[in-house]
Amino acid sequence: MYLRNIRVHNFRNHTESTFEFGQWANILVGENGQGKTNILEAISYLCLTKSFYSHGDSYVIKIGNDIFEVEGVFNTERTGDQRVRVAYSDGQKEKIFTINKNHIEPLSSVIGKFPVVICSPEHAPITNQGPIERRRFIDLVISQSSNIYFQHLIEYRKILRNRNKVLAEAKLQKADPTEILEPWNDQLINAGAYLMVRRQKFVDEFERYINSSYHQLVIDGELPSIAYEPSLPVDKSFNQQDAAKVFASELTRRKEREFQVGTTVVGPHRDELLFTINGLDLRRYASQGQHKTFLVALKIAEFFYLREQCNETPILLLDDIFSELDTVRAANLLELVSTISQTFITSTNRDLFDKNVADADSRRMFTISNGAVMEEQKNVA
Amino acid sequence: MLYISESLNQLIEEFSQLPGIGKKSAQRLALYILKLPKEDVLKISQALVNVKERMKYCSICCNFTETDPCGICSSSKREVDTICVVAEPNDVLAIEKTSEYHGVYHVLGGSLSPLEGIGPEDLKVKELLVRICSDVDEVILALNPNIEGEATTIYLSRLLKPLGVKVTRLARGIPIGGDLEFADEATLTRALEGRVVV
Ligand SMILES: Nc1ncnc2c1ncn2[C@@H]1O[C@H](COP(=O)(O)OP(=O)(O)OP(=O)(O)O)[C@@H](O)[C@H]1O
Ligand SMILES: [Mg+2]
Repeated sequence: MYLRNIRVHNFRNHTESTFEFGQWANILVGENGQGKTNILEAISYLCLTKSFYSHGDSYVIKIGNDIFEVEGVFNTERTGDQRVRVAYSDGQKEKIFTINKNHIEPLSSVIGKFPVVICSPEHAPITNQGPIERRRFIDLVISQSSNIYFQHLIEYRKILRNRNKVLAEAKLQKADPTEILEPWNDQLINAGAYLMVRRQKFVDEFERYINSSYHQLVIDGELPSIAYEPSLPVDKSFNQQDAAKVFASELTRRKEREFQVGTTVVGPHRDELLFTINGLDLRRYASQGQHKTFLVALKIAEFFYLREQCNETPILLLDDIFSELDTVRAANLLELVSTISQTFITSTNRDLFDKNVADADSRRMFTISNGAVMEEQKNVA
Repeated sequence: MLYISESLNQLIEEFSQLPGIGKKSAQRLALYILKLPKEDVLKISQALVNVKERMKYCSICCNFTETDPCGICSSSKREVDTICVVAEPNDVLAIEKTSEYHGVYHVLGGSLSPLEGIGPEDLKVKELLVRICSDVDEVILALNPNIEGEATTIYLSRLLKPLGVKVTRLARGIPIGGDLEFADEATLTRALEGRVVV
């Protein structure tokens, strides 16, 4: 799949910008704060219906306006050209997503149709902070490859919110919530057991991808690994029934504790994903460069994983990621991504790209300045 | 948009409180009303007052009705040994349209939803329980296929089963005329889970 073109309207600092993209590397260069990342954010809206970092569509609208619009044409392997448009109006508090003029509802059904892999400094927390970011990572990868997983995830979150509400309310009223809790327990256990099995399966499969992508960036000496650490004490190889049984008995065992704190204390919403290099926990031992390398490797692995799972080659958005890599790792990365898919790269420094992307025909360079865009001539010597 | 007229503003405000009506639709409705002949407007307002004054809950099934008991509960043609439990009066209309159901109904008035502050005491659950007697063979739980409907189904079946009544629920599956290929994955999964022997 690749994105032929895009038009953004009243989006961040862009009043009206249009791009005709190339099928391989598209490099957006410009000084700080000119509107490069904003374009990646706009592409993220087309693929995921939302931004990859900010929460709240209203902030995205160019200040002083009421509505933003992003429109683009994807050329997909399965169904050819697809015109995709997303618009958000602050006044109406309404987001409209259309594919070939057809309204798509719910928005969640878009996930996975236009697979995307995004790597930006905003993702650094995946390797260096708490488990929430790692769960978000794993959930987005699996969701893009399986809409069923995504539906279960949405359901699980809703059930959890309801269940937590019951617990919190009961704590406040000093009441026994057992009876009202039961219908939510059953549903939480069903959806949760499904998520756990899928996460375990994903991590088992993903190990191979992370290994291979890491070694495309780093020649040798470092062995990366990931492990799934479910919040529930399941045996090494468990199936959905096992998980459900353990979940049920843990809910019973931790009942008093839950009544005390007024929230759900076990379940996949407390799962952890452990990253290691040479057996050492990344969070505790890794250098900044290793963090960055691991993150990029995760994202490249995500790319190859999704390519295999989705029957559609994902596009890659690489926001500002070359800055902290050493020159060898950066060159390896650039060479790798320039040939696997359509890639969007932002940078403040164009030198790296002038030197490295040897086949200049395959890449386009755009200069972004104050919310406006200029495509540079190809092959400038 | 700001109108000079206080009364027009108020009408727009009232309309936009209605479900599914945004500011824009409310404006359109209000301007439409403004252009209608006075007698038409009176007819509408009288109709509004009438439903409010005449409609009450059926003392048996808790559906809206003008006569108590309602037409269905007082009909001699309905089989009172089967009660179909639904969330809203709309659901009764939907099932009645099939002309395939001959039992009676029970309208809960919603589904369990802690987040919206709806608990069992906010639904017509007690009213349902008092209806269960030796004459009732089956209770069909026909609630919505979402987490709230599911919670309500589980909750009610736990209350009903000890009373010795047969409790069933609607099957979930592929819509008729729907192509398997185009069924969404969630529907397909549910249909697979609910498969039956042929
Ligand atoms: N809603 C908005 N309306 C108008 N301008 C906005 C809005 N949101 C952000 N901006 C502006 O957009 C600019 C940031 O754009 P962006 O993040 O794309 O920069 P960048 O080119 O990626 O810079 P850097 O190299 O620093 O990452 C800032 O100047 C910011 O003030
Ligand atoms: Mg940026």
